[in-house]
Amino acid sequence: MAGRAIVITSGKGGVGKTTTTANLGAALALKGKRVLVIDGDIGLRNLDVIMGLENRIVFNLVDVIKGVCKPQQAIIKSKKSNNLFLLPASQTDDKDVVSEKEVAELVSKFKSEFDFVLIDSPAGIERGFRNSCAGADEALLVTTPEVSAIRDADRVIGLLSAQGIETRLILNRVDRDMVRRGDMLSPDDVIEILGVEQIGLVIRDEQIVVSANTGEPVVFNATSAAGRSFIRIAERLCGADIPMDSLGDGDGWLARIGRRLRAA
Amino acid sequence: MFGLEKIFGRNGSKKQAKNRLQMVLVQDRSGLTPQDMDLFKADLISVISKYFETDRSHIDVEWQRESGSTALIVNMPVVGRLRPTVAAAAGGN
Repeated sequence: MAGRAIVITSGKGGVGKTTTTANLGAALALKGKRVLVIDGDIGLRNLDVIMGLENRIVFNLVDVIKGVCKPQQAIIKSKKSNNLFLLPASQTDDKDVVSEKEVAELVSKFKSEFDFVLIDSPAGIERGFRNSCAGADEALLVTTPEVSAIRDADRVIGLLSAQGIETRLILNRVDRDMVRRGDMLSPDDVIEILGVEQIGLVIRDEQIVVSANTGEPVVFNATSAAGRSFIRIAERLCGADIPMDSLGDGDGWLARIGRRLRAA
Repeated sequence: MFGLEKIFGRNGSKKQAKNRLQMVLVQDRSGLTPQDMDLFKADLISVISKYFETDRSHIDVEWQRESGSTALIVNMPVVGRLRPTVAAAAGGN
């Protein structure tokens, strides 16, 4: 099996990298793919809590790399899927206890055992980011439609392209109403500014907060708009040609007034 | 008209966001400070106007990314005819 290693990164913190990693991992697993998600944020791990697996951690990424344990002793199976596995980060070490070479070798080993290896990169462009990119074949860049997030995303695109890593964009937390009234950059604006290919768009959804509270990724919740967006991104990752999610721009003013009345 | 733009929603803050981002990304991508960029533009103008009649107040410099490569795009309206070639001018001396 020759799996694909994909780093999920953003530059700016708090734009949804960890949520994206957990949900894409879960969505790919739902499609029957064998998926390993790796928390690349050594010292500030969070993928475990987002996936609801924080109580099962015994060993971690640093233990595996330093030979303290075997990979299968550190990898935790998800409660929700038999195809989804987590390799947690260490919470007590510094980012520089592992090298890019060590991470790359480990990821390359995992690619023979999993269809997808998703690496959740820490924010920033320093050591933790470089380590997370070390073994990656492709990158998914998460940004929100805000100036600070887009500016940082632009910087990361430059760094990834210098390393020859193919990068596709996930635009997160898009608010339909704000885009419609011209108070939020539209997906087209962001793509035009950044000049990269888009692989997905995730609608702003309160269910994301609920899912972080409960530790269950939203893709398992059929009523969540964000969950459905992540499932479509997973389909596209597997090569399906699915049109980009619509913001309902085609709505006439009647539909808009109707929605406003219903919301009131 | 009063309130209409609010109802039809075409006049929000995103325009400012886009303009400000495009400005700051030119600096980030080129590595030039705003002062360096002004010097660069002044140099460009002096070179271009050696050959063409131009509108000096409307020069626009962009760093655009397309499928992996970055392009420097300079937009400057040419207002008049081409000038007599510099070579011919030099020959006349």
